[in-house]
Amino acid sequence: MAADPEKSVVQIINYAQGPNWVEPWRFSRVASGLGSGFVIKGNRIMTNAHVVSWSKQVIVHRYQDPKPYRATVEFIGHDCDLAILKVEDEAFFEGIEALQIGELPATRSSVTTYGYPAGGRQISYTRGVISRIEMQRYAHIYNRSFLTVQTDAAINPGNSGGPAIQDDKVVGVSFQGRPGLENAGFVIPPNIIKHFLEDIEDGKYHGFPDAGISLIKLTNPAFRASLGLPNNSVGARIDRILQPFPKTHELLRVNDVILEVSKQEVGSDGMILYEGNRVHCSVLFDEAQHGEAITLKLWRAGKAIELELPVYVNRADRISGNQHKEPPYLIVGGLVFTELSMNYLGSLGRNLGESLGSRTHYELFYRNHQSEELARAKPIVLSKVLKHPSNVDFGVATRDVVTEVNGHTINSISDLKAALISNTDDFHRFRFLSGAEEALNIADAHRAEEIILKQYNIPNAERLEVLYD
Amino acid sequence: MIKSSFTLAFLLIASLGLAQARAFSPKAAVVEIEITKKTYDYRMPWVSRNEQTHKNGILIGQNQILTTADGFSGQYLCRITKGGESRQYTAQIKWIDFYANIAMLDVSEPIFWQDMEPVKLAKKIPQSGDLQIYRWRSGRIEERAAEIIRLYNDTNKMSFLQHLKLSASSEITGAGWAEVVFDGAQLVGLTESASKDNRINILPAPFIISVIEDNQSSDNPGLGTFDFSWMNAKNPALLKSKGLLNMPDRGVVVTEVGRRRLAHNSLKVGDVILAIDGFEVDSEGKYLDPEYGRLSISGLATRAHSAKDIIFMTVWRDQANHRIAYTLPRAQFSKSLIPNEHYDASPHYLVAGGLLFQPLNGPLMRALGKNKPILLDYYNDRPPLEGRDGIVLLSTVLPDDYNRGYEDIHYIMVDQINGLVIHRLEDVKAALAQPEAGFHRIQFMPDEAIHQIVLDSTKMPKATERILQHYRIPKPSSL
Repeated sequence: MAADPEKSVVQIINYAQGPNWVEPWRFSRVASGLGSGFVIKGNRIMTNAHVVSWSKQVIVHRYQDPKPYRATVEFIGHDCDLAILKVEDEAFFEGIEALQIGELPATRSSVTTYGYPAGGRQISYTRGVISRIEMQRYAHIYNRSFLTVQTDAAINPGNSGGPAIQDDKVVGVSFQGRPGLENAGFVIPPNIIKHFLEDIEDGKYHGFPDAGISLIKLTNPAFRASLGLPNNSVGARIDRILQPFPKTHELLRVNDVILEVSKQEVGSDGMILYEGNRVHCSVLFDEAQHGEAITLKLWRAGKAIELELPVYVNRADRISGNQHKEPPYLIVGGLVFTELSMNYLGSLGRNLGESLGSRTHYELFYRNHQSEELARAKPIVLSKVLKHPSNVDFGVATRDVVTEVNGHTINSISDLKAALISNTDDFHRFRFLSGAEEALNIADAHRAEEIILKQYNIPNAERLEVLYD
Repeated sequence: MIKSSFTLAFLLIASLGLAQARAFSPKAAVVEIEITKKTYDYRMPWVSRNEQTHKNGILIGQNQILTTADGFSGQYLCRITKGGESRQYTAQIKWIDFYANIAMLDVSEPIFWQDMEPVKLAKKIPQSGDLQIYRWRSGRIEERAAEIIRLYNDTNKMSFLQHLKLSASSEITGAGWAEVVFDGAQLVGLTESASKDNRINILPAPFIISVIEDNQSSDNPGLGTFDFSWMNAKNPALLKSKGLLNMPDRGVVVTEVGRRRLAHNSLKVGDVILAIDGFEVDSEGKYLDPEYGRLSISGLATRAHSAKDIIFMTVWRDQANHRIAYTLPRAQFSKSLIPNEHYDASPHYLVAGGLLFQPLNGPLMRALGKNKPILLDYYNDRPPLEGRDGIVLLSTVLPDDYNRGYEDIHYIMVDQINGLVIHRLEDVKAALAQPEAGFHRIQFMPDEAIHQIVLDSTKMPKATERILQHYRIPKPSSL
């Protein structure tokens, strides 16, 4: 047990360089960001994923020690916004006691947050009360929600990654605030931290699995009666099975009513009693590791059944979430194609993003519901036309999604590449989501390619690496 | 039917011969119009309010007061003041064309027409030079100068019709309400809208003449429109890839056909349109108009034709030229999956068990403002949805014990009720008359966040009655 937790809290300086999502061969200027972290067992530093994202170099400072130490990112979990750093120089850990991960704190109990928020060089402590425990969207990944602990202790930029301490144990990792809410900071609770640490025990981070169901409250007496359920407060209804979750599709049905998850009763509002807090039952799904099964008790066709539902990490549907690897791109005849993503949308700015039109937004947020194949699709957008006499009359506006090339449907950058190289005609023919079509003379495009790359200082005409493991 | 627009113009001129011999006197021709109308809150469609709109009109013949249709939707009283100071005369609407944004009024009291001098509509309008804009202001005629910017083809303010427009710059403020625009003694148009940069958009006289002709005919075919989209074909590679060699700077490529579900005839996506109605089409979608120079082909649907006319086009398709007969469809909002407009009618709705169902249309979408889910925009923008005539929205749930659990549902599109596909409100009513084993099962569009809800059919009538009373809704439906 650490008698002086502050000695285990470190300051992190991340020198980051993110990609340019519109001109994907470019990267931003190097920017430094401040964050916090804390030492855990095994000579590791825990912090937030967003503190060390796009990192080129990470420097860590011990408590009241001017010496900078170089650290590297050992594991990073963008979905749960946690990361593990390692420091080569073992001297860094001398005299530092690892902090232990505690249990979920009780609401109304006190915590102290430790960190290095902006506005000073010294460690900062703020004391607050645990005011609420419930599921919240994790802003770093944007499209996932996990259990979150809300406190009125001040959590400011730079606090991120620092521990919330109660009884000398870590009961949370500071990670986000919420615009419009005063005196409200959020910390990642111990169950998420422990899941992350357990996940990386095999040397690889897999992530949090999804069950792939949309659970809706079942409080209307008529709906309950139509399913043959008593008019009590037990059981929430599966309204939709998402894509691509083949095992869930195999085992579950729409209108199945979940009565229990992991032997815990589910309320008609989808909530369970979790360590004294009413939270959504998905918190129990988040306890499973990739490939593990969850025991469900269901109400189906007028009787209760029990089954084991294996859950898997599913990264294929994440175009609606923030991306954390360099975007793939392909340049042909000066036309720059890259993946449509939340980041791409965000990089256009609010007005331009909104001007993209509903059909493009649909591609990003809705189309993946339709089928397993489409759920794995990565729409490709014409992000730029690098002007050259060979393409100067190309009449399609940038930001349009390409749907077909040389007669082949395009659902990924690999599809695009395949459609281009398999073409034996004199022209590449493109069709876009807006309905527009265009063509490039292949010989002209080929001749222009080298000139364009040189003129625009582009190192490679393509980057086709698979985005996710 | 090929229009004889200019013949009509001559007829009008002939009928007004006496008036035209005199110099133009704005006091004797320009009138003020006050419209009292009902407006609706589409989010509470049973609620109506009264509003007044003030605008301008001009006498163009005996019993003919010309103005724009803008502001007339929902009107039930129209009164006209002449000379800036007269009493208000009650006017009748002879006809109104919301698609064209033109209305013709009459005042039946003979005394109104005393000392009034109708004016003539210009059969041709200038492309440059100065104009004069007139309107009544506080009992006096206000005359403002305007300078012509250009003539062009563009979309009507009140509809998707494309036609000739005139744009001018002027210092006049608050214009766009049918202020009359003159070139000397000739009426060249009515203002349609104004922007903050002193730009005035004007409905030009030749277009107005053609609309008057249509509306005075006993068998009004209505105005036609092109129900296809196109893109410029400036890229030589695109034309060459279609086998169209040695024709640089010609043609536009068809990108969508039948979006408004008005016409699927003749054209195909990928066609290159080389000529329309005898005019060569250039690679920027322009043609050379014999009177007004280079204009967008979008206006060719209204330039000399009415709906149902056949317009011949030359298109390049499958490596060959084809002569295509395009039957010009009549512009109709109601054919679209989500009609853009719903003029001169109260909003339709149906309340059942506290669920408010409404047909999804432009006014409702606009009323939702920033709360509007993007999915509604998508269904408005997407290619036509086969097999569905319209969309009904479950716009809100008025909380009651009966619909407990559904209180937070709003703005979601209905797919089926009790197994019947829902196209319009009448289908909702019919489906609710056929419950399934004592329940109403309401399914929503597959993309929606929630897929279905169930209600007790036996308790619905009483619940509806109770809810209508509780929320002070005068009647359960307006179909």
